[in-house]
Amino acid sequence: MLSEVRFEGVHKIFGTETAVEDLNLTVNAGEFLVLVGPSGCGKTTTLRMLAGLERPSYGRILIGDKLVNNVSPRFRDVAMVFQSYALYPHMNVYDNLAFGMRARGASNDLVAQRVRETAEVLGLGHLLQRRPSQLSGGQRQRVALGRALIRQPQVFLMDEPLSNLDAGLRVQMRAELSRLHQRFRVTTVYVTHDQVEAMTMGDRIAVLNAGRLQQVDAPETLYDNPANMFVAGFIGSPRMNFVPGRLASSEGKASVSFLGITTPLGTGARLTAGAASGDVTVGIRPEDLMWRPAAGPDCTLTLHAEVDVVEPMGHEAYVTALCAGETVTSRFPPRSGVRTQESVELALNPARLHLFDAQSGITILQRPVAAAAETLRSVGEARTNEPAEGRSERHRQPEAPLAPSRSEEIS
Amino acid sequence: MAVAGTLGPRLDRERFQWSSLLMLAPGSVLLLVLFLGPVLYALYIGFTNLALVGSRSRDYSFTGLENVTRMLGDYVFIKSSWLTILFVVGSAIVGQSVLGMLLAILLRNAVVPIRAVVGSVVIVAWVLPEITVALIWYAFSQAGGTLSILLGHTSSNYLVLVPMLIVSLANLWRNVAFSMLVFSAGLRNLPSEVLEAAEVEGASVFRRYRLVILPLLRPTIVTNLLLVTILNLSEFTLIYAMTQGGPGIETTTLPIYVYQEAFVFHQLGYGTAISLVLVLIGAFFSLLFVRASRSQV
Ligand SMILES: Nc1ncnc2c1ncn2[C@@H]1O[C@H](COP(=O)(O)OP(=O)(O)OP(=O)(O)O)[C@@H](O)[C@H]1O
Ligand SMILES: [Mg+2]
Repeated sequence: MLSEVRFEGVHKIFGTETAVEDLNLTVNAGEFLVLVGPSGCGKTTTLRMLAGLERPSYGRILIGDKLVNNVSPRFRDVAMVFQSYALYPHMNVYDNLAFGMRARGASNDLVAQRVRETAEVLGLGHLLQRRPSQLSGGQRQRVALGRALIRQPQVFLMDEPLSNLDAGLRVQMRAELSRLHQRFRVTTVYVTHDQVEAMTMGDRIAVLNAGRLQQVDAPETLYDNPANMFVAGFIGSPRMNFVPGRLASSEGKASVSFLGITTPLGTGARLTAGAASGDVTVGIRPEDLMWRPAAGPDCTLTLHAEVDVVEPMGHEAYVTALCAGETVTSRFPPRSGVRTQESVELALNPARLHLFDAQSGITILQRPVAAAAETLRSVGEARTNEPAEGRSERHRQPEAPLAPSRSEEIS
Repeated sequence: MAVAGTLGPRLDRERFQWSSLLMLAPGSVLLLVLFLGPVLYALYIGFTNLALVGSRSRDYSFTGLENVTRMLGDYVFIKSSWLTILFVVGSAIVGQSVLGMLLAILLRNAVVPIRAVVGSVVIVAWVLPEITVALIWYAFSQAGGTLSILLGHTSSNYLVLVPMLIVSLANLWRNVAFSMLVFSAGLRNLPSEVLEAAEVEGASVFRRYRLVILPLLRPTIVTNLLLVTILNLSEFTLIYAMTQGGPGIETTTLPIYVYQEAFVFHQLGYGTAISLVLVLIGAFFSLLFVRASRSQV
């Protein structure tokens, strides 16, 4: 039942535009892979190729060891949540949900039961007789999600399935999806723009930019060891600070100078083979750049900066400051009392620095992976004010809320 | 609701403005004079004994239901009505619409060269003048014509053997492009992701057409049926050019009978009465389609 999905050298070219370029990606059987990237980077195109709605220009796509390049969507046994919902406008919610099961010849009783269960989970129970045009955007999106969830396919493809839901509902649905995945372990490719969703739901995250795969890794690894500046800047909010620096190494000891200070590179971190002395880009995550009074003993470096903007978020504040001619963002505790144009001392742990090649933007520093929980917390809080729910669903045991009769499920 | 009484008149109701009458007046007058007037006049003429020539052309009179009684006993009229319905249902509703739909579907899935060639051939048939089409099909179905050679009976004149079938086919051949174009446009405008969703969900081609595509095309289908019925109901040129309603009265559809009564036998009153029946048949079909379109939307 669990099926692996493989892209081998897949390209998709529309006219003169390359939407996906040389994609090599394996989604392990039963894995929840999150696909992220800026708008227009080829996420939907990737899903559509996997669903069979778009033929790859080059390369091979395999689902469960079976080459599917020439298999029609009907026989791929995937369920897709379309970014635009694509509900059947002339059918009510019930028939929309039932369509796929009926097409596969399920009995009326089974269909009725599964529709009821699915509608229940998605909070659509009272809307079954409505047509899509009589639903709100968020309700339509839940119908689109339900239309996929009602089936038990080999692969789920979800294109931003929660983007139109309010914060509360989104947290709830996120938990629901995670539970379902825990329970049935259907291989899933999940596209999202939401960092919290990406970090909390994904077994691994694949980052795409301009049609090219940048990195695929577990959320913590991706966060702590971004392969290049694009990934470093894309994952994490507020964005990582990038400042110019210089790398110098003598007698095997490397040191880096930036923002007017020089520091030896911490133990544990090591430079990659390609790293050479000279210009580099130094990356500092805002949460690693702390207010001196709030900083721990690890933060041995001190920077002097002038506050430019303070953005209070409630449970913390983002402070944009000018430091040695560069603008940097740092995370302050709430109610620090810091004001614009005030001089502050920022503290930095040298072990938390990221180094990138100044030209190519590729990382030149390998660091050990930090504790997962801390990473998750920092990202989760950085993103929104959503309650703690989202943090660790992935680690929670399923509570079987949608307890469908999967054993009777049609093949 | 409780608040309704306290808040004064509703602001979101449609309101009538007297000044709009002024704006509507010129259009209304034109409509009355040029449209409603003639229609009512025709209705009146249908119940008189007006003739085209002779004494009755000047002093005609209202004859009540006389024309209606005459119709009910008129063998030619009864047969003509059936022929008209046969023609409209067979050639227009079934033939033209079904074939037009099939062509539209096939062309949609065809490769570009085939689509271009077949599409233009079909449309050329439609652009040809009706007289030309009549001539082509007349020649085609004569003894020694292409059809008789194809069927291996060179001495058979199919326009005499099965006249209604031949004129229906000629009409179908000429008009199928219209339905094809209407349906092609309808198919092109379907939301493609909805069809893709059905495909991903595992529905077969047949199922997709039955449960998704045709229901979504329903408004297009109804529009097509309405237009095609109304256009074919009054079809005169093609049939008259091919057969003059013959042999005998085998192809005398109502428009041809109206022409004969009114302009050959000079019975304007009776001819008008028959054309009113034509209007009734058209209204009947239109109502049927509109009802069908509403029942499931
Ligand atoms: N049918 C098409 N014809 C031409 N270009 C296309 C087509 N579909 C997609 N593209 C292009 O391919 C690129 C990738 O599109 P895609 O829809 O995969 O982006 P995406 O990552 O899903 O973006 P978003 O986050 O905005 O949904 C875009 O630049 C888009 O313009
Ligand atoms: Mg997209």
